[in-house]
Amino acid sequence: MGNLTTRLGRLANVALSGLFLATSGSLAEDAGNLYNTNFDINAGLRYFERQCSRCHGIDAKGNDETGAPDLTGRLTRASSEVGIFNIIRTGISGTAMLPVASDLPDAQVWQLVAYIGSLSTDPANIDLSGSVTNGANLFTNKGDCSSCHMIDGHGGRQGPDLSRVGERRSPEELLSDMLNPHADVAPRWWTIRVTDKNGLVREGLRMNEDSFSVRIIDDDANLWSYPKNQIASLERVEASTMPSYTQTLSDSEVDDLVAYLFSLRKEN
Amino acid sequence: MNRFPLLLTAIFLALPLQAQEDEFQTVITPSFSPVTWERLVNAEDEPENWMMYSGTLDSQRYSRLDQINTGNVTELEMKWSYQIPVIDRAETVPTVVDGIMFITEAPSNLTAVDARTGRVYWRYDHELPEDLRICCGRNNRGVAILGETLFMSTLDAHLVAIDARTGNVLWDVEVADYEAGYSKTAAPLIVKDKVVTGIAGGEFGIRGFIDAYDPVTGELEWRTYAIPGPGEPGNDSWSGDSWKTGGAATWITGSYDPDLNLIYWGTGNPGPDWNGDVRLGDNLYSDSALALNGDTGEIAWHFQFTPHDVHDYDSIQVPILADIEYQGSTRKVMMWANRNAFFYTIDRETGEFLEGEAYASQTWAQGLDPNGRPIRVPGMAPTYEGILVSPPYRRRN
Repeated sequence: MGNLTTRLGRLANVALSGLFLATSGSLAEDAGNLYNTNFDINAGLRYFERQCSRCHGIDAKGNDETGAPDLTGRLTRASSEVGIFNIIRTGISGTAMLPVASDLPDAQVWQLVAYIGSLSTDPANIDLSGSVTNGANLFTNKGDCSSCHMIDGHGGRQGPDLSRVGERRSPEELLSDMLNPHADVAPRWWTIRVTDKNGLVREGLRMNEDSFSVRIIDDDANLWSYPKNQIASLERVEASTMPSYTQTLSDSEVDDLVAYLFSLRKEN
Repeated sequence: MNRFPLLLTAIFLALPLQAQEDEFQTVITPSFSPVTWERLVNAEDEPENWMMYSGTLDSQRYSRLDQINTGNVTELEMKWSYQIPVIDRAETVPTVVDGIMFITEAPSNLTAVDARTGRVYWRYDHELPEDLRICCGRNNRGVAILGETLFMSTLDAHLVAIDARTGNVLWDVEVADYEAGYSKTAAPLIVKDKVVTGIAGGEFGIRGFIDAYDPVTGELEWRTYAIPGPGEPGNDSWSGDSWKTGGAATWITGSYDPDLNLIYWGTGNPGPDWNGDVRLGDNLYSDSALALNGDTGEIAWHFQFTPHDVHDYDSIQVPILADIEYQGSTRKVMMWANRNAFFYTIDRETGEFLEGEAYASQTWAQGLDPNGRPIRVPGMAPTYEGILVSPPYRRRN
């Protein structure tokens, strides 16, 4: 079984080496980010909290309401530090992503790049102890994960699609998700219990909600839509419906699953 | 087929609608039932739904709903609006199935909303590369649905299958290489157990085609090129090697006749556009209607509307299938309002030209000969100095 903190510590040791985006000696015209010290990352963090967190979240995990993406995983619009720099500098037209002030010095933008780079884990630098093949087997068999989760179109609809989960969850986060699923539940996976004016109760996962309406998906994957002024009561359960696997899977089996899930990302 | 359950459903839905005043009642979305091929063939029996790009396989786009009619249309009021997040062209036809509306958005996104309120259930945003080749707007024209799966084209020339209940990606296949100028915008068409889909990029030197994919695995079942290859009939209608980059894109959804088992699809302009000097010949099968075998995709017949086109007269209009009285007998026809300003009636079993007449002002042709081939007015090809031709580039089909 094992204590959560020591296991995290073990993983963290391995992962630490990959936490900072090293200056990539890549293109001839791109010298990489020269502002890559801890001081620069902290400066980037302070600017991020002041200016970027209002849309991207204080943890940079993104926000469905504002449409600001999660910056801690694989970035979809930039594949290099220069790409990130350019987005911060020029914004993304047609979206709410505005450029930073034009008189903001380049150095400060590079510090932001360094901070954002520090948020994600470069998979090439991670060496996990688990077996990906065993993990794949556990996912569909002993772990029965596919009863709720889809991967590449196979599996259930009662949990997040995991086809590319390795792009947005670090190994530490995957471990925590499995052993302590209630620790960090996104609103999309809360349960909503609706009692309509006839007393009929319907329960499902919270697909979407606003001040005036709510939409849920029930156990049979039926979609239901309610205007809030037409229902008697609404109960919001902000917990996960996912069980914890501390009792059902051994340490090595969990490591295998972590290795498997972390390997799930878009091939490039 | 047992129609009784459908009738029950229709009555059940009609009652709350009549009792409705300004307020919504408790909105309960009817159970979303999988869309079988039978439902698609008989789509006209579900007028409250719109289950494919043109509503029904014959693309007649005629709705049998009658709550809104000429008597009360002046009283229409907005019930809800949904703002598409990316401001760009909106050329989509929303698909409505059992109370859920599926809307595709620029550039290659898809959202499912409650059809009664416009509130979002889920959305899918397709990742696109930065260096797409798009001639005419980053848009998407709609989805096809079969079972509980939606099929959508994307601007980077992929075909994606999305779970209709959750928005999860089931599979994502590359149809063609976007870096070679290929793109996809049209809604696919379900034909029996296949996903039939076209391609775009006629302005970037592609070789157009129509594909059919397995809906479960995303595997390519067949591909029929809109430009014949070497040794195939019609290849010699392209001088030199111009066939390789001849265009003839297939960027609007076609139609299907289940009795004849024929898929009807239009093809776009030959490339290079406007200047035909490097592609002498009729340029088959650009600007044509193709009839494909519904199982194999083989070309059963073709009809070319505008041979050796130099006016960008894409023939990608929706083929309208109907059985009409023609010269004393019932005839299975295909009607086509072409961009070249002529309206054609063609026998859809054989491709025989029946009738054609200009429906808009045009100056490039004197008329059509007995085979439907245009009789060109001399000197109307584009020149370096410029020349005015009707129908013009703007305000056309």
